[in-house]
Amino acid sequence: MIQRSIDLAVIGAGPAGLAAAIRAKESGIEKVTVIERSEDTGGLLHQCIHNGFGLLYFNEDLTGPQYAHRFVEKAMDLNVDLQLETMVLNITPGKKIIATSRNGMVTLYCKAIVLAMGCRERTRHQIGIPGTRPAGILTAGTAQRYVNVEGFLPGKEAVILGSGDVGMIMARRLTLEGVNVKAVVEILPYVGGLIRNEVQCLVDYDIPLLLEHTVTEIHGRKRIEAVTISQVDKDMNPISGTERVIECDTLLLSVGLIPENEISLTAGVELDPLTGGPIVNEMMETNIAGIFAGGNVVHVHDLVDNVTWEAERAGLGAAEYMMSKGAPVIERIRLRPGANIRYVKPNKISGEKEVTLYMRVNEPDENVSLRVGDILSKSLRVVKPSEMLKIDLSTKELEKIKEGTHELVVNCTRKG
Amino acid sequence: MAETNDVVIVGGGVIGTGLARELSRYKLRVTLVERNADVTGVGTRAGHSMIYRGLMLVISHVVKSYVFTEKPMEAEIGKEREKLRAAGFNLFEQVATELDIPYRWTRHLVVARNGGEVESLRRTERACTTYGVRVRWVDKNGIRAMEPNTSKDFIAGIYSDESVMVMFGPDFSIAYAENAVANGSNIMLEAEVTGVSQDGDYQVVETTKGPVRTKFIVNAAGGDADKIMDMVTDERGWERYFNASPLLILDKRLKDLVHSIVMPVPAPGTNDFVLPQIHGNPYVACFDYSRGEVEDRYDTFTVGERLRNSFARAQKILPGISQSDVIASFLGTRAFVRPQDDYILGPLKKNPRFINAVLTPPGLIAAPAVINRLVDILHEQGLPLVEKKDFNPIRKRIPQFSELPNDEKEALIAKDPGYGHVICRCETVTEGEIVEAIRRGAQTVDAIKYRVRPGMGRCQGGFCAPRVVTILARELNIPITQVTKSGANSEIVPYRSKELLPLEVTAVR
Repeated sequence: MIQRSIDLAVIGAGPAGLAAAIRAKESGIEKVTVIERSEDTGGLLHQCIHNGFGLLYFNEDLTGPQYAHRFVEKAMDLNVDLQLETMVLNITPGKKIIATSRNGMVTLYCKAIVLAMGCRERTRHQIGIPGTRPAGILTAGTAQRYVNVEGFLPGKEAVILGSGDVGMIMARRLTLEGVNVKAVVEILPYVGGLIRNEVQCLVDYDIPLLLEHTVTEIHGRKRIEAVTISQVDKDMNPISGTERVIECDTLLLSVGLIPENEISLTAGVELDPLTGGPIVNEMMETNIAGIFAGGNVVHVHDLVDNVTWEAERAGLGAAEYMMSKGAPVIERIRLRPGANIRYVKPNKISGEKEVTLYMRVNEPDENVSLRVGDILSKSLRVVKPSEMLKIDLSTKELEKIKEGTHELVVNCTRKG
Repeated sequence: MAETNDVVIVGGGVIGTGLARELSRYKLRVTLVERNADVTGVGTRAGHSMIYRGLMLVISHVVKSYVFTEKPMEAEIGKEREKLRAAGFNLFEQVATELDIPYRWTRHLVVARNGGEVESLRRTERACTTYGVRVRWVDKNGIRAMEPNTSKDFIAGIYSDESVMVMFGPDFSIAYAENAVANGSNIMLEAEVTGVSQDGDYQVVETTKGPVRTKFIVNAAGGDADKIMDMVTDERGWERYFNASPLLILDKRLKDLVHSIVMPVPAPGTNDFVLPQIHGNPYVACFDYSRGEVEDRYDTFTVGERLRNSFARAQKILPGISQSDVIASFLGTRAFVRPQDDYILGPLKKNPRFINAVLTPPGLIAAPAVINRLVDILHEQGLPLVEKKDFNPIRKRIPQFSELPNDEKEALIAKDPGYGHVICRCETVTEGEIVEAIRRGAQTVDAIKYRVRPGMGRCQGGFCAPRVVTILARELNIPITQVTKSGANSEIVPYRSKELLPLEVTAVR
């Protein structure tokens, strides 16, 4: 087996992996290899042909591939070693990677690793939709690949379950391709993705949005023929008597994304049960020294701009780790989700370095005060689970942390 | 069909494929006609992939007897099918070795939650004695040591270590089919039988892929055996009825959740158990003989209420599982016979060249013995059995990259680079394995799934499916729009981009 020693291995050539690799290179790290299982760079951006990417990072309105391309070009200019169609099989806590490709197997001995594997889609079975198991049922992301990358359509009459961004984007995409999108069905009383997408994908295309509804049965033997939808109560249980059948030959599922951490587990990385991704400190380092993580593999983002910033931090962390040669990491202060906060990232900070906190709320709310311990308070007009919140802790806030503090609780409560 | 066959076998489940393989030992022309696009069968797939006798067989009789028959255990033992099951069980290891079918001896543990159930265990033990089967007892502490992840409510149990081999049902028929074809038998897929006519000494089997002429017909059509028999006679004398029960498949990450088949004492007509399936995913089966009878024999519909109910029942055995641990579920429809409630094997009186091979569950256990019996029956009816010198009983399965040590992985890749290209992330399945499956007869996404597993993992094909579709199109030299999930009318992506657009474009608001 080929054996190589490198400085940094980055797993995943999506926006997170590319950003981390570039930042590490820019910080002076020499041998950086990015390992990607797919045929192309860009990760999911490769199939996101719509625009809206880079509004924050570049102050431009780009398509997914355009956004990715900026980073691919930079990575190539910096001589990042890119290995496509290569699958990591295993990582040890000692940062030994075993990977395989058509060229054979390779063992990489690394000084540091950045995990950037992104996320996968929740499946029909994980949400327990009963009924038959015919052709024509796809997760929205997989459908997006068929349509946008390969040039094929899954059917001609579609129902979409889930109003997350991917679901709404695909509702519009399929409509533009001539598919009759009969409804987007959402179990919650509010849309799962960005308002911008609700307007530009559903409203603008007259696609019915059925809130507080779900698919309760799938019909059809070889191919799906119809779905039964029902209204649900506030506990998300179907209300008997509200069933309606919608004929369709395609059902797309956009019912959640799950960070993809299978190989993180082989490395002994500890996962955060609140997000399904690694527990990380302010430099995006996991519990294993020298293994960092950034992007959707840590927690699912809404905006790729934040993925880039977060992964750059991971790349910088990896670089500093390699140059510090075993200097102690300070993880003194734990960040804990409090009232109406689902999770906070990073999980631990030193209290001495400026850091951006990312978080999501559990329930939508209005006119709220978002507080980090007693060191920062921010007023927000509207908060919703589908829109990630960012708070910068600058030196000014960090100085307010009292001596001996081990925990900062983040709360989000109605004002007044 | 130009040539005349000696035997046409209707049905490509374990019995049909196994018979095609057995008959390929002899100088005969044999054709198997299968309605679906693959030889994984229906009953072969719906069963719980166990080869068993002893304690498990006793339990299955006890459970069914509450609902289906009032006949006592002794009457069961006397039946033809019991002899075939016992014989089949004893033949399995040899067949599995010849055909390279993975299997594993697995402990069967039946557990009680209260005094009444402990009494049931004692009755079960006595029933086992009738079968000549010995079981051992285990107390509460012993259960915790054996199976620490199961419910703490279990206070006692009985178990047997020599009564069950866990395997994967479809492996059986797929392996039989490969070996049958390698030795000269023909298999026609997506060939549904529409009628049978007589032509002197011969019979003509009409199929959707044309007529097939033959001397003998063996009816191994499983759940549809009644329909096939009705094509040659009005005097069937038995009826098929169907029962379906949900099966939950749990994440492979839980592969060490249980090591035995853990089964709480069955309540009348129901039987729940957790089975550590051979691929590593725990299976949870929730049998319901009292309410599982289905009207529609093709109904594979997992009713929501039964699915939720199954999950609740699973939690009674495995308190730690959550809904997100369930990566798949399906409904296994199994076909029974009444009033005989036995296998129906043998020639028709009025047409002794039409031979029935109609089984009732469990049938997988008996398969090798049933197949031998069918060969004997055919011979009794005049089929000459002249052995081929070059019959090769050995079939090797497709190498499983994920299970090999690193040096063997490398050797495979050196021979065929496709084995280094991983297509299915969740199950670590390579392009080499997928291409080999296609070379051995897989023509659909599901056929590949059953042979080499892409799509069986936790993402259920989210990443790999488009790549499997591309490989199928390439290897079969068909357009991507014609690649199907399971045969005609199940195309994965039936249209091309822009194909559906009307000529005018409607302005958007």
